[in-house]
Amino acid sequence: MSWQILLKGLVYRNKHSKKIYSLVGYDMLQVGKTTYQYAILLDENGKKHKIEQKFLDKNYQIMGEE
Amino acid sequence: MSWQQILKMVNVQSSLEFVNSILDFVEGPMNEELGNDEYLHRQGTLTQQQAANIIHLLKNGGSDEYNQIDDKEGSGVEQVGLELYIDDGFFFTMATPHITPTTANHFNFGYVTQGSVFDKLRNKETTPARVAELIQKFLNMIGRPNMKHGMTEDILTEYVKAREE
Repeated sequence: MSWQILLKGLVYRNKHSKKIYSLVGYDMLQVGKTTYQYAILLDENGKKHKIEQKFLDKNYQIMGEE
Repeated sequence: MSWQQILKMVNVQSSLEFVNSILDFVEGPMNEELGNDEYLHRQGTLTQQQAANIIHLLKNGGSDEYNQIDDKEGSGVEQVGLELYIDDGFFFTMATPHITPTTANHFNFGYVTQGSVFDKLRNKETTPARVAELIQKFLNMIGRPNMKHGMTEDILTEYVKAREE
């Protein structure tokens, strides 16, 4: 089981906007020779957002699991 | 050469200038105001045909569940895929197929700002109005002035206010 599957379902809160999101998965973005990872978060209205991993680590806190 | 062929050739030539002007705007004023602690990358030189295909995708490219434009298959055109996301950040990437490392006309462009733009908003180094104005200029340039997105002045103002509470 990958670590991405283990994390799936975690609930995050944006420290600044206070909005709540749930983690639904990860995706990769290739730019030049580098591949970046971003999380896919679902907001309370059911809309998906792309959050780059380092932005997630810095600006979101884990609230628990769904 | 027929007049249709001449007209097509002129259009393709102006496409190259047009796409380069969009990329220059993103690399210049947008990057300066919104920051780039994520990535800003331009590799290779666009061909005229690739530029014409990019314009086609900017105007007609489909969306998916979170990207306003997500057309990696090129929607019937060849040689380019394009992705645009404007919500909790600005992601704008495009690439032509990377056939070999030495492919002469491989082109890749990527600009993402997510951490830096929100840092700047929180630190009052920029304002929601200024960011929203640049996003709107970009949308006007790509021919989608009414596109819905999450970096409007109202949404960004709400974000900054929530931070202050």
